[in-house]
Amino acid sequence: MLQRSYTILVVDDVTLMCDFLYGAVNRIPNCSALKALDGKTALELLEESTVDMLITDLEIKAPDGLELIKRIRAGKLPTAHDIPILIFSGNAYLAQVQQSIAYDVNDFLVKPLSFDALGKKVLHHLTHEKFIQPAHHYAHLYQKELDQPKEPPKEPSRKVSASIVRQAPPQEETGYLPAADDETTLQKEKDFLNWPEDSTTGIYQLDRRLKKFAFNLSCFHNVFVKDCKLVAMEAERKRTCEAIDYLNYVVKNLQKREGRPEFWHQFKVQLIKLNKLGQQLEQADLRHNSLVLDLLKRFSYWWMQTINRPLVQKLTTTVEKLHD
Amino acid sequence: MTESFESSIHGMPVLDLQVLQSFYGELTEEEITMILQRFYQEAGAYHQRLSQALAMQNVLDIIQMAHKLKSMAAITGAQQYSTLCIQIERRMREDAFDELDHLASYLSLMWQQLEQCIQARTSQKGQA
Repeated sequence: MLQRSYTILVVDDVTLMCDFLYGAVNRIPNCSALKALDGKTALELLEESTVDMLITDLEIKAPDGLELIKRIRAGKLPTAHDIPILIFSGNAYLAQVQQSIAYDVNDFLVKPLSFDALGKKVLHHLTHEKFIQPAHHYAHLYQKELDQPKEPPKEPSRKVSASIVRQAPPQEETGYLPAADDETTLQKEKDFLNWPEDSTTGIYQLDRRLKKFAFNLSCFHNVFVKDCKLVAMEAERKRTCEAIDYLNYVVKNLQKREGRPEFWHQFKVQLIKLNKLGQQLEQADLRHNSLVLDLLKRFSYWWMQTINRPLVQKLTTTVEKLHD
Repeated sequence: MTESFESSIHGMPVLDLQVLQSFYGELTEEEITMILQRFYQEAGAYHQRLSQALAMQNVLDIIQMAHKLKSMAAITGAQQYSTLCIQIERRMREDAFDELDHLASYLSLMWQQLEQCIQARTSQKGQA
């Protein structure tokens, strides 16, 4: 039960969703909601009223949800910079997650969410304080972003190999992409899983899905060994599981179009193993370090088995075969 | 692709008010009717924009509209329509344009079915 009354600002550009949030918050005892359908109205409310929590969608009319978050944390608004901030979004993409984590967002709520579930989340964050850095920390970060010319995000480069999993020493709770300078460092790091250059299964769409899976699992591995916040790990885990689902979907469809029954037979054997690993990843307690590390080792082993002959071959070999 | 989408919506009701109740908690008949009417109005406008974007092959608009519609439809219990929007958004983000025409062909049909369900429900309650 809350000891005092709280004002919560909810922001979503879809009226139905905004009213849904508004209704859910107003049902919580001692909580009253303010609502805004765009970033501009939200800013006005943040300037005029005392807001104790922000729940916002990311994709709203300018300024967008991330911009609101940055301004609050950087102390650019009269609202306290350390209020709990919850993101309520249909999607969470890597770049957005990374930025939100750098600004210490308290939680990601994935749409759709029930009244009850939302109420529980709100209560939890009102009663459990999270450590938020002083405003100048975020202001520095924000200024750095403003000073930098905007470039499209780059994908980390691919190299051949699978890494051996090791346990990283515990780090301070700073978020996993705290400053723009570190992005270069991240990109220089070796991916956990790599697609061998000039190699192919002979089916472009399948190569693409396998590369996507490797990329997502590498991202998960990256946040896990860096001992990042749970919310970052959860987001990467979700994307990895989605990549596995999509791989299954693609295989099912490609199988009908492409011949090569022997290839598909062997690939499906591997896919069954991957699905089992995927299920374990989905259910794994991410705080259980050794269990996750063991699981990552098994993923790495699976990858090494799969990206070699007979399923994956060097492009030169494939071309030679075609000429023969 | 076809079978996968069809199988993913197989057995799904066009409009499931139990889902709506599960998201909102307990609702009176009037509240349900009001939510459905509001959904119909707001989602109808987005649906039009999505249809136009698909016709014009405007990728960003397709993603944006499908993204908005999927959540609105999901909390209202329009599960088939929500699933369709999820698939459209996903295909766009994966650059799988070749599969889009097929999904787009479902869009009008599903909206019509949804429209009928909502109208049947709201007029029924209006008469009562």
